[in-house]
Amino acid sequence: MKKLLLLSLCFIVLCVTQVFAQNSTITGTVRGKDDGMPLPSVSVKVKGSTSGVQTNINGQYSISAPAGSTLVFSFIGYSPQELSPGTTNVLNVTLEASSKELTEVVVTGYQTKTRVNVSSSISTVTGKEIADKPIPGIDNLLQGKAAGVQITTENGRPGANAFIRIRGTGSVNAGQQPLLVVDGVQIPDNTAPEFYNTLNANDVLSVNVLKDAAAAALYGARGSNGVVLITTKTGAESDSHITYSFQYGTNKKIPDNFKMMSAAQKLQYEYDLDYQGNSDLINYLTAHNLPTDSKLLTTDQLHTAWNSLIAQSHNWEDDILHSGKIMQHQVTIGGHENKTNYYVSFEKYDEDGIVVGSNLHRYTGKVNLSADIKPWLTLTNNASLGQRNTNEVRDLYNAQNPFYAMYAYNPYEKVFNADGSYNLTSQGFPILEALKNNPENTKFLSGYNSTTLDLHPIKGLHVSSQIGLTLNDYMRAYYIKPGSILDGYIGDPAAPGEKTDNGSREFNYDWVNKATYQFDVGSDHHFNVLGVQEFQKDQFTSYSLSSKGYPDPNLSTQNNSAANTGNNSTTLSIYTIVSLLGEADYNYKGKYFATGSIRRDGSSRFGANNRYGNFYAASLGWLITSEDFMKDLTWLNVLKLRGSIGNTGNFSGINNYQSLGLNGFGKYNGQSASFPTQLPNPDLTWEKKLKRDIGFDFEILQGRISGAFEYYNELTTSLLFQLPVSQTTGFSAIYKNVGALYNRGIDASINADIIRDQKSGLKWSVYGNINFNQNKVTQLYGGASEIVNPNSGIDVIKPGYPIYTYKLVRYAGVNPQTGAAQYYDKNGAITETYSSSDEVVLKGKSPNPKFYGGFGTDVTYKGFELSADFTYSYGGWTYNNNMQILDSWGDGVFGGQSTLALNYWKKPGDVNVLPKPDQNSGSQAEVLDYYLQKDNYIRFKNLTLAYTVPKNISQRFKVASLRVFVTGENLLTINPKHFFGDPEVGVGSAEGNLVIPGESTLFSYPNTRQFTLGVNVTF
Amino acid sequence: MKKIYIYTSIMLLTLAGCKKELIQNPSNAVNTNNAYVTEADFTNAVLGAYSAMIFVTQGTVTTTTYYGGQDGGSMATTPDVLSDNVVLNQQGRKSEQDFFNFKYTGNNTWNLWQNAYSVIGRANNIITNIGHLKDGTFKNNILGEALAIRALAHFDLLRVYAKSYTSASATDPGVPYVTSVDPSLLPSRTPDKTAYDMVVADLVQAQGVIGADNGAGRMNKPAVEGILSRVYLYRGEWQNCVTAATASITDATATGHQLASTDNFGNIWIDADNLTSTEVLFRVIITDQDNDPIGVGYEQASPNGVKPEYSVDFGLYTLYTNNDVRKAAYIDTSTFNGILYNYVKKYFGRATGNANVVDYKVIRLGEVYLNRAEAYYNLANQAAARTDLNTLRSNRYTGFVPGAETGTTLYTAILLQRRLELAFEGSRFFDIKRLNLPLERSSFGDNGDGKGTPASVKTVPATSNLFQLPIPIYEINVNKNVTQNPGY
Repeated sequence: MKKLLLLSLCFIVLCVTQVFAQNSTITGTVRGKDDGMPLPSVSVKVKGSTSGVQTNINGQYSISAPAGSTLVFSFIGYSPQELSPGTTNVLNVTLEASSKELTEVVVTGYQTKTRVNVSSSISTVTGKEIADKPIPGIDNLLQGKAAGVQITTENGRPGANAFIRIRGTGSVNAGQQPLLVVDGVQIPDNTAPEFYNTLNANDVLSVNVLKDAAAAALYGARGSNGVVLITTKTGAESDSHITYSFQYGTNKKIPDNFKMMSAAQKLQYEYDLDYQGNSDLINYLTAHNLPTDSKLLTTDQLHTAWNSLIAQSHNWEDDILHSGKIMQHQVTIGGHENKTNYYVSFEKYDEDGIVVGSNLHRYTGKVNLSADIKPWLTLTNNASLGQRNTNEVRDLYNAQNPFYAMYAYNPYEKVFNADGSYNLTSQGFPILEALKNNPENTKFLSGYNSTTLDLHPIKGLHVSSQIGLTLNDYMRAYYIKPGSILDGYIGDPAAPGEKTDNGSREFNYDWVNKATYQFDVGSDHHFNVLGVQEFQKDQFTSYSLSSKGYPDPNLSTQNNSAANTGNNSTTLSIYTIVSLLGEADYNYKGKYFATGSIRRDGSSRFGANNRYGNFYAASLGWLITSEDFMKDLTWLNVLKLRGSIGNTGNFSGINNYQSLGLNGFGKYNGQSASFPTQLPNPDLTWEKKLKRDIGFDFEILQGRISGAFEYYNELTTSLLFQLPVSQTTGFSAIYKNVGALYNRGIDASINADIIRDQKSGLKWSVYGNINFNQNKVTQLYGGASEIVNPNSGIDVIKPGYPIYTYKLVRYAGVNPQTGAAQYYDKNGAITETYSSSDEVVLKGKSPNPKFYGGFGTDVTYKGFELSADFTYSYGGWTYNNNMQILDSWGDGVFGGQSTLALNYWKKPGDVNVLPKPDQNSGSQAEVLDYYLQKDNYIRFKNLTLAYTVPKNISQRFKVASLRVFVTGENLLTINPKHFFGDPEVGVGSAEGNLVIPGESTLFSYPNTRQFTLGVNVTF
Repeated sequence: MKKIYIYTSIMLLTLAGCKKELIQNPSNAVNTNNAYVTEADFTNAVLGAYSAMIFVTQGTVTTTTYYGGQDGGSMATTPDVLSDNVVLNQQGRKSEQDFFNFKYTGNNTWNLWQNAYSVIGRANNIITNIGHLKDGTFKNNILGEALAIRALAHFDLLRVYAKSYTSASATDPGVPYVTSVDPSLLPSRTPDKTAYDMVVADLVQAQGVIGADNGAGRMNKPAVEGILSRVYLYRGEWQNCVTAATASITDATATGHQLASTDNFGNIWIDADNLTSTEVLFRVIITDQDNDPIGVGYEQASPNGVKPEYSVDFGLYTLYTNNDVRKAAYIDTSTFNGILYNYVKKYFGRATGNANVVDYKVIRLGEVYLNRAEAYYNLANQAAARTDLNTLRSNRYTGFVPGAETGTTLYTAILLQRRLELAFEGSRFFDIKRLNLPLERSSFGDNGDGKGTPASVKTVPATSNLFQLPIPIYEINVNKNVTQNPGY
């Protein structure tokens, strides 16, 4: 410590001496234009002289110069700049990057490095790319932005999360989402979805996605699915400012590409099918003393009756849905004073969903502070807290779901009965009543605090300790009000009304101690070593309370109830991870790069015999363009070859005590009862993934075109499966590590500045990325030839096939003579009998797309900025339950049907038609490849047009910057295969547990189209 | 600099201390090895075995089972759906329609296999560890309950998946009779007759050690004897049946049980019977808290009236005379969407509490009398048979005049009373099966007046493979030692 003080003293003395020795001094800060971050080691020289200085770590410089001289700022990877200070003594400079490779800062986890030093696969999305969008979830905002990162929106629910799959589906039963790390803090898997939703995207400086082993292996047992690193703004990236932003807009369902039958069409259809269950018609006929069998009526009688129903018809979609509202207010204050950086923000975001009873209200607050309290000591504290409050609607396959109900109700069915009560309709349930009387509210309070103490006693050495705390608190209240229709169905008549309050809290701490040391041996050998110790402990508690017997629908707290339902419970569950990590980077002359790492993780979650795991990775890079023989190729600025190999683990997907043989407790006749609940497996451990990656980065024409191309091969072994056991043992399955699958593919991305005209200020750039992925299951447990996905029952996990390849009965079209539906049996012969035993695995048909990605463009000209983002997916198949239900073969006749159902067999010779409809056909229960559709699409995801008022005008009003913008989301969808409905399919049915992205549709919350208008004012 | 080293060393040491954090135990469960030690442990475990008749929890998944399930089959509904007692209601949810239409396959069969073996597994854990208890009445009683539970579950499995005892050959397969707790076990099917012998052996052993009265919701001596009389009846061992039934009636009377009178009969079905003098010898208690609506397989209340899943077959309906107290206790009418139906209200629920939640009655004195009457008849003791039949009927019909039937008239009367008494109680399909009779359904439809849509499958020949339900494909795939029943 003494030595440290001594050193610091020397440093201070030196500085002071310098100041006294000079009499004319110019100071300032040099920053990068792209991210606003200070640039260290920038050379600052007086033009025409040899004297010069370099900027320090905070980008600050101080140089003495004669009056009237010009300063030259230069730094590798940036265009040099010459500026004359004139009369001022303070000159702040921004340098424009000319090479991404050489200037881009990459967060690699535990460290930040310059892109050129990294030979692993990391995609970077800057905060600017995701700012000011009318979408609350950061995960959704990443769609199409990074190669190899497949983002599928779950559905259109306000606050819905997204599925993130990095380089394919790497697991069956363990988690498939990447690890989320925010400002260096590992976020628990259960908490991560909420972090994406309650962190404010406008506070994000950058998102780095670690894809290959060399990058992800740093996170060992949690790195298998890749890692998403979110870094928030610190205040260092801009001068002191106060910004207020406001956004307002609307939200609407994307219109369907099919039409529902009108009342007249539907009545005719019912008549043609001899359907006798139309109670509106029966009531009319009964009231007019007519026979209730339509076939016994005269044409006049029939049409009069129909006309009375047609007269009361209406569009249920208009009655149930509406146009939602989006409103956002935000204040940010950021900057830096002396040795302190600060960034503070507050946001309020409100979104009304497209149906009554669906909305989101979010509050987020953030404070990031850092200060150099001593020259050798930096203190940083980042904190963020958000509350998300949503009202939810049911997502299941019955009329309790408004998005099913709006199709299922017949157009001639009225909303209200004559007496003013709600019409139960053919579905037996009035959704408009339920949306009012069965409210479901959820609240999430989530946030983190990370405190870091960083010691840097000598050049190149940093020793730091970081404590990261994360919290996710969840509360849900579901009230079936007394007297509501649902209460009549499922409630206790003697104790009407039922209220459930449940929730959970997950608290995690992540303590990271690390040391990095950068040193050179000679002038050619550059080293950087990292050592980390980490300890994580996670505590999850939950509760559930429910009671019944409420005196009044307005009284909803549990103290008003008459009786307990007896389902009250709490849980407690803990896991820990203890880790050691070492990493070393070496580069020779900035040409050859090598990195190696090893991590050892121990976790309480796994069996006593397999509690520890070692994860290693190595990568090599070769910057070819720094070789002498490349010097002549001036158009080629950067070409770097790189490759990596390593292994990672997947810690998620099983519960914390899965390896133990346990007896649980329940009750019988109100007394305690005990029974075995799980079989022991002391060998239980994490899934392992071997990742290999080879690729290159390039930049040509002074960085006007840049890109990356990579091939990867990822093999998952020790796949976690519930190994079936004979049910005669009293158990069905035991968790074991068996099975293997691989993902192989190509990621490519390109950016090009087509026009870069400094003079006129016109800049036009385009970007694009693509991922081709091939997934194949290679091994299951002993002897099993396939596992049918138990949630959907329509696809299999089978060696030799991609995961979730469909297994369905094949439809053979209509018998043109009889109109009967025909099927292929197992052997390919045509039969008219449907049998589930004729299901076959459909080679090449799975929800996995063959390729997907995003592209877009950005034009800026004199304060105007126009940007457009598109995403696309090709080659995946979706089982379209919506189509099966709405284009039924007659057995959906009781409810609403699409006009496509009218195209059925009517006479011998009819082809390309649906089978002759039969209300008892039972076809809706048949799983058929007829309903398997290609979900290819290109979606115009976002359009933003912005105008920044020229500074000289805005400054007249004491406004530093004024920007107005309009955005549109989901403006256009190209659906080349005429998918029935929206081809971007996330969850099929959340409550139906159809949650494999793109596997099936089943009336989940539809995606929406948003338009917003916004303004940013900076003072 | 030194300080940094010291600081680093401290951090290293602290982290080393974290190692003990790597062992974490759950707060909601105990290790199975420590779960069967004290008397209280065994009481909990035996109650756990009963609770498996309502719910089974594996890992974090809880499923309703055995008596409670619907679409996957349940003791309360499926044996009647598979019979001539009910007709599929066209306005219902059509649950269990594959059973009603005899369309079951290995992929889609009654899940009793898993449910009953869960019960058996829990009983076997008790029996395997019973040596941890010191000898005495407590140990005997627990052992008796566990044996009786194990026997009952195996007997139900045999009734569903195996041939009737009287039609099976010595080599015809029954179901694996499992007595071990080894999780790696892949047992083969015990021969039908051997498995029935093991059911009897367990019940006889239980009879010798179980207590006379364990309170409601638990097995006791008269219940074990009552079940034993049923097993003997299924085996066609008439004298043994009479002996067991007589022992059951005697022991039941000694502990205060008695046949419900015409006045009290209805109370059984809303759980308002006096538990110390009830005719129910063993019931599975399903509380409001359990909220397992076992009646949902028959009907659902809705704001539009009761919506039946199955209507009472009109032929059966007319067999209940108006002075038969069972008519009002078992059946009610409801108009749903303009159509009148006769629906099963046996499990409609208690006077207060959750809809369709009510205890399941496993064995009651009414059946024991019928078991004995049938056995007496087959022993050619018609007088005794008639006495038992009249005893039952006098408690079921108001103003009953004792009958004097003889010969086949008497036999028909016994079987008719059995059908009426045990309708919708999980017996009809098995009675047809044990008597090796064909199933013959009426042509009546689902409406309250017999009109409407009738059953599509009207007859199942006595020799049909459909009487042996397919074993779930799950077991066939995992356990190559278990052979599937023919025809699936």
